[in-house]
Amino acid sequence: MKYYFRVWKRFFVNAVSAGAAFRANFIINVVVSFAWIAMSFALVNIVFSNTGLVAGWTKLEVFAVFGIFEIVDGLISLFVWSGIVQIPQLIRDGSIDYLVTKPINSQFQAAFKQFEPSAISTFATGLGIMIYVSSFRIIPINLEKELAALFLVICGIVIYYSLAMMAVTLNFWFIRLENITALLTMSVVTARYPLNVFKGVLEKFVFFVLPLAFFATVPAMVLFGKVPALPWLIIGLFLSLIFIIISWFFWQFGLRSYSSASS
Amino acid sequence: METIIRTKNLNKTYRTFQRQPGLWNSLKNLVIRHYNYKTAVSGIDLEINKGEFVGFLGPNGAGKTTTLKMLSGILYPTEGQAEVAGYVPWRRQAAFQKQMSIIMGQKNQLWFDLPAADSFNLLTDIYDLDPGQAAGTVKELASLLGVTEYLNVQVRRLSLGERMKMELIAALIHRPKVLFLDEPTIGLDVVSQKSIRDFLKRYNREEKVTILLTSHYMEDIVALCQRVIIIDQGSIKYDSSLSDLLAKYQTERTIRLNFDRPVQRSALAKLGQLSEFKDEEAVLIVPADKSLEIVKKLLEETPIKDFSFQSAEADEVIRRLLVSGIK
Repeated sequence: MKYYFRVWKRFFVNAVSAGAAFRANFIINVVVSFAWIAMSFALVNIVFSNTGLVAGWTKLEVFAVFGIFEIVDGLISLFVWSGIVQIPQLIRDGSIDYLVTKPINSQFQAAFKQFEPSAISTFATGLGIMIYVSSFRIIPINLEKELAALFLVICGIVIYYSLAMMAVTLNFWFIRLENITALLTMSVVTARYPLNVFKGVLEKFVFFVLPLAFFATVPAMVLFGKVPALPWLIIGLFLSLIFIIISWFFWQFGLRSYSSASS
Repeated sequence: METIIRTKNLNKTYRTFQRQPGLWNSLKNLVIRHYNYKTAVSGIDLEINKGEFVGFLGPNGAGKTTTLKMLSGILYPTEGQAEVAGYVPWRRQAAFQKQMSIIMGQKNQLWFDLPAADSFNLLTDIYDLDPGQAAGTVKELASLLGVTEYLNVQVRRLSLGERMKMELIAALIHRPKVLFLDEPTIGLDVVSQKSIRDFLKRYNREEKVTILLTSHYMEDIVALCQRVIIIDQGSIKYDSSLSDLLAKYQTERTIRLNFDRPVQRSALAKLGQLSEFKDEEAVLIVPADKSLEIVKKLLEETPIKDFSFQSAEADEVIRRLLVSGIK
């Protein structure tokens, strides 16, 4: 663990010093994340102009779901996303050859090699929204609930990471599947809304099969006391373990059928 | 001698799916796929001793790179066994990976936008090396390769030759026991080729590192390898020392001659095939088994000032072998 942290620190330092595109990305990123937020806020305002409650959520609670999502998305973007989206390229041009000959986990290297400082804006936006929402004193002062929500946020991050990893692992078999990350981004953005607005099979699907609900909805549900914390903590822990293990084995399986690029 | 690399019946078959041209066929291919099976390596048995410097030769697509990739654990074989430094390479145990290294002339492991020194620091952490010791290794290797002054220059600003030298340092920072080199001098100018060659020769000798080299440049093989393995169509066609190879396949030798005064063309023509002739200089090609006898005769009968056997002969032998096939 200490060893991995030491290597990560070096990745971090290298990635930041190599980050030539930093400033351009930063501005684009700020603009994009504000545009998203503005659009989402507008949409929510329209919906709530007709009703006070949607699927049991008030407007401010929905904003809190946004905030949590931005925090989760920001952390993923900061630490692993830019590494993960490069994996299809690494597989295609054979650069992954060097990664698999190193005495450290190849998935770790591929995912954590990059760091995207500009994503700090997404994270900051999320924090800002949470501060704004809490200024209305709707978040219960209850350390247990807050810690439970925090734990579920971590589960959400683990699930997010695993899903992204599984998606790019497909590139070991389908070499030209670089758009898979775009598809993933499209599914992930739905996670910024309270996903229990879905009913029936679809609801079960986003809670347990493709558990996008854990990115923001479930932590918010627990935070606002809409559901009891303990069962969801157990489900969250269980799902995140299942997903990280599957993504792990899937990666190993992918490496097995990797045929390297001819040089 | 201690065997450090051993393979038994090593096989690798690639499955590729056949694409037919045209839109209709592309659509059809989505449903019905025809696979091609291409055998890249078939039944390779190898035994390499500790400290050997072995050259892998063969035309493009012969299976050289695939063999190296299996031995370094990048690829899983379709069939067969291998043991390198006591480990099965494709299990990718950290203990194995700390003892070997691979350099692929066409791929880079250094960070392009950073000075090489930053990549070396990263490798120091990845290999869990003592920072002081690793810095010492880098310093020593950089001075041997003559790139000390470029350690803090962005890799992308380096010339191809300097970059390859940095890649060498990166590959050797953990002092591996086994080194796989896949065309390390590809695309380099003659001077860089030579300095890398000199370095490898010295490193092999002094550090007792076992090296397997593939190269398209015959000069690399001739200058470095005591043992040559020729691979064609996935299997070993020849495996012996370079001198045996030459003794067996070198049927002709080329002698360059200089004379004190002009000689008669006919005096030389009767001894062998004249490939060049002008006044006081000549190049004579003679049967290898009679070459010494002929030199003796030349010394007796002509006003020789100087003579030499041409150096690039080993290249020629190997090239001919590859072109005509090995029997």
